[in-house]
Amino acid sequence: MVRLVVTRLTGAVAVLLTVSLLVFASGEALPGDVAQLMLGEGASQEAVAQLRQQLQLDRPAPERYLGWLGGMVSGDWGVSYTTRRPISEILPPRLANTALLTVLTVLVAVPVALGLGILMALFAGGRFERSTSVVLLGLSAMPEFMLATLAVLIFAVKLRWLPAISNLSITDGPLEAARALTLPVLTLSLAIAAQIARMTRATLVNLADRPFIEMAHLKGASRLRVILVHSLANAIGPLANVVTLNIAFLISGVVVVETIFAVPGLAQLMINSVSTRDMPVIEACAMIFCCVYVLLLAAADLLGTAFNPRLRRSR
Amino acid sequence: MVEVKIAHPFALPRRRLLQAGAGVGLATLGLPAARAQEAKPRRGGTLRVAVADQSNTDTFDPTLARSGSDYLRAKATYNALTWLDADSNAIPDLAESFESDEKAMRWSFKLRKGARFHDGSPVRPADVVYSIMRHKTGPSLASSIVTNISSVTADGPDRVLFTLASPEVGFPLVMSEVHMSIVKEGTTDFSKPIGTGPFRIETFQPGLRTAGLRNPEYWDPERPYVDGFEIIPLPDMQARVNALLSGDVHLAVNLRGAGIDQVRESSVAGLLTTPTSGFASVHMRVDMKPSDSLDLRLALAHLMDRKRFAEVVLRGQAVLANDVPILPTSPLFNTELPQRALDLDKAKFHIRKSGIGSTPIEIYVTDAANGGIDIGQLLQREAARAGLNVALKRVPADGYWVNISGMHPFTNNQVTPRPSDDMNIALFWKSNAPFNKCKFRAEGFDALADEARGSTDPARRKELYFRMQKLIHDATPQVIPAMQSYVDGMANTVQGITPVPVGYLGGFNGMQNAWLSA
Amino acid sequence: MSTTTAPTGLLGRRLRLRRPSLIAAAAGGILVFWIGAALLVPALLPHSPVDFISDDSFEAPSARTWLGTDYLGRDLLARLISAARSTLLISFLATLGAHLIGDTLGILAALRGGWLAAVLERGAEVMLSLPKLIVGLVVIALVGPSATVLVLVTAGVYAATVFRIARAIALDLVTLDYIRAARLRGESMAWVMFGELLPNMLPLLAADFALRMSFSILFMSNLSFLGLGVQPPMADWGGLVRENLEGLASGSLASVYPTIAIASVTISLNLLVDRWGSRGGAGEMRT
Repeated sequence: MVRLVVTRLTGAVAVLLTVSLLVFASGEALPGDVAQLMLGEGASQEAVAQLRQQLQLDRPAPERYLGWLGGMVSGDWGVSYTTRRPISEILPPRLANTALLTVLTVLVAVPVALGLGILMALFAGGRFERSTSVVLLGLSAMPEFMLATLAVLIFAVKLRWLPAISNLSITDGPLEAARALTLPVLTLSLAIAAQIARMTRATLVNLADRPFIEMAHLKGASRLRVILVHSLANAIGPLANVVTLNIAFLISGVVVVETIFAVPGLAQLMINSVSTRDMPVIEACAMIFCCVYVLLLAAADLLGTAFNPRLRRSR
Repeated sequence: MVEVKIAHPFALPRRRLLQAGAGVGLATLGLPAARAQEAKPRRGGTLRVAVADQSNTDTFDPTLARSGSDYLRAKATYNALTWLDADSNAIPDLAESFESDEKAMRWSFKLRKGARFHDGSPVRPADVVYSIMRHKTGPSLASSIVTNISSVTADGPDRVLFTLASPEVGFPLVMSEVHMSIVKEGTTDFSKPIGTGPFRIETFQPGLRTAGLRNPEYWDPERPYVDGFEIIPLPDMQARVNALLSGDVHLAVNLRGAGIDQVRESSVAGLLTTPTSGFASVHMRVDMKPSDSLDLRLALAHLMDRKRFAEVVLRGQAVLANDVPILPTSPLFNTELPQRALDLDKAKFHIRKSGIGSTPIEIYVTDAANGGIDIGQLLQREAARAGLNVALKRVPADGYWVNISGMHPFTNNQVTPRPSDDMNIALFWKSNAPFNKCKFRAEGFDALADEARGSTDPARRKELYFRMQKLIHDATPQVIPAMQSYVDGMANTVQGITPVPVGYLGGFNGMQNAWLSA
Repeated sequence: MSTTTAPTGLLGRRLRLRRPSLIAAAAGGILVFWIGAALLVPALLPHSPVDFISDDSFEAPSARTWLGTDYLGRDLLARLISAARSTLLISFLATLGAHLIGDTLGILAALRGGWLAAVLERGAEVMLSLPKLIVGLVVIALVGPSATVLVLVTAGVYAATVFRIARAIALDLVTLDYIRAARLRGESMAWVMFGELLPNMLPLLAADFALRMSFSILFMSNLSFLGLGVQPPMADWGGLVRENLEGLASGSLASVYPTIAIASVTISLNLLVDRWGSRGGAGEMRT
């Protein structure tokens, strides 16, 4: 057990390091650097060089990377090139917004989607299942910006039930905040619920053909017990995987919602920073996202192994 | 603005609104008809403005101000020495008067009595010197604007003296530019900005919101009328329109396309249209193959469906242009030049002469230029009908201006309006201009530009400008289909903002003139 | 050898082997329509997808333009059908590539375990953690924005996801008796992978394939917004939705038609896969 944790931790660190290196290399590969972009196209060579010097960008690339890495390891996240503000000041409010969005979406979408998937598997082939399938497929096929725009048009502009913008800094009180977040959360939920529901259904239906299910029926187990104990338990592995992967893709999809609903979050910060080549901020955001992914994926594996007794025994 | 009479011999001629249209959507002052002008401004209320930029790099530092919302913030907090009226004449702002010697090379600005910074300290010439010199000595986005200033010094307790490198009659216009905002001497940290302006900043969260309260000690006793303002970033245009129409904000800046239609048809808001000399274009390197062929450039100029661009893409919020950078409603506009329009026959003639044959030409297009991709699509469609093979290369806005614009034969360009035509010429068209990406050169052009800049005779200026435009028109280094207007959405309760042709919301300065009728 | 028994739902109901249902026929029909449209297009369209038909943007449908015009005044129907080819082709190839790579590596990792699996898993995590925007921009900067590059980028990104899904499914099966029996028998790795495991994974992988094709259409439209892929004036379906989105608030359905197109392909493909799966095409695992 300890060995497992240690191995996974080492693996996680390896992934973080690799991603940080690749992100840094990407910054070098992309044309234009922060000094040029800050001063614009008409800037003189001297002005750009002067700014580069001020930002210490004239050091060779490996030195800059290692300097950043050393800082990270010792807890210093560095300072934004463009605003000169410490990243430890810039990041937390953005992180909080994105985290809030993501967590709320997961809390809403995952149980609903799992439940739907189970229902669809129970009634596989029936009218309910087929029509739900079609609706879910249709929703998942819609581009997120389309979903968001429609949601705003219907609920905010036409019906006036909910606010059109979700800029939390201008809302007072938790009720207002909840109203402001409803549409973004709804949009994101629709985006991931479909796949979770469908994969749940497919996994459970596939399991139905397994010998152990028939065995359970033959043993006289009640239908409920068959589903809850026998099928679900075996489905958790692949299901946990699908759910966590969807959460991971949720994080990449959250940027569209952040833009349309003006939620000042981490994804939007990263996009801004890419266009200004503000490498410390880019790296900081990338590291946070990477940590979240790695944790989620490790959790998925853990759940899969934990609920699959055969795997536990054979490993 | 409180008008102060200046005995200034060199006031630039007032621009006339030409009635005859060279085309579509002739500039109006853009005030919706439904709006009755109330006589006396009401005080009170908090003005809420939705802007398009949401970035961590929002700043109050005049050397780094780059987005529309940065300019809005700057005009709320600071003053520059001068400002502009609706006809683009320089009027006093922080300077209560200004004058020059006969050669327009030495300019003296008298600072306004009683003007104070928000912390109470009086404005001194040293503050002006510091603010302007920052652009010359340090890295600054505005360094190309101050190149004509040889020196700036304090001249007594309340005067500042500028010595120019070459005569410039429109120098006060240069001083109205938003980057020329006056900050306190020695300021390096702009996170809690101090200015002389109509509002004091209460909250500044870059990328989140900016809020300010009325400055009760403002040197203009009337303004501002509102108690405060709030700037809210909403990068998605539809979101801005929704916020305006649902009453969450009073002003939604920078509308395009269908958003314009929605606000126009609404009963709670209207459009504020500001015609400007800004535009998107295709610029063509005259020193690279194949764009060095004059015939090829002329062919593209005649393949440009300017009407469709102005009417359909820009929803009529534009003035048809003629490939020269002067606004057609300006008295300096060369009316003798034949107005170019879509003309397949002329295009085919030039295509044949150019000898390009079926070789494809690539035009780099991007979202970073407003309407740039559509210009490309329009050109390509007509080119196909004329037998010219145009391929569009769509590139991300990311780093476009630094890496792509002007680096290939045919690329999208975008020009934002400046306070004076002299500045435009100096920045974009002279042979040594910092933004002359097409490498346009014409015999005698620089001499014409320099003389115009220093000419005190309006008739002579006009003649010089006519000749410059003819040189540009003959060489056609850029296809400029239309001059684009800024279009803002304004709730019907907002009064007092009038267009100033350097930016949206009254040249970015509208908040101090605005008042809420309800 | 496996015997085929009629599959049962979880409630023990026996699902009959149905004759081809109406739904399946409709779904198949829709796919055939789009594929046919993609192939036969240019000859049949009354208007070119790049001609400016009207002087108004978002003109309503009429006898001249059955779906109306887009934001620049071009025939929407023509653009929709022209976009079918690039959309379907690119998303199919990308998803195929993703599955070829991801399934193979996933099954391999599940079977072998050990350090190979660890390296592959970490590699997949790196791929998944890399911000897609940066990947897209770097690729455009280094290799250019062609459609081929778009296929490769999409395939690469999704291969990591498919890898994890395939690996999880395979892990679940790998400990089953019949697999152990095959390995004890000395069957080659390739046989175990492709002969025993893969056939039993097909229904689930196919379900993912079908849904992933629709995801790749959407992913494609995000990348083409950056400039990677289909160049203007042509567009893919996702691009058509995006460029006409502004008309929605004024009541124009111009962005809805391509949305329906994407949805119709998604629904049809997935329904067909469902049908196939529940017919016992899964194969049986009786030993």
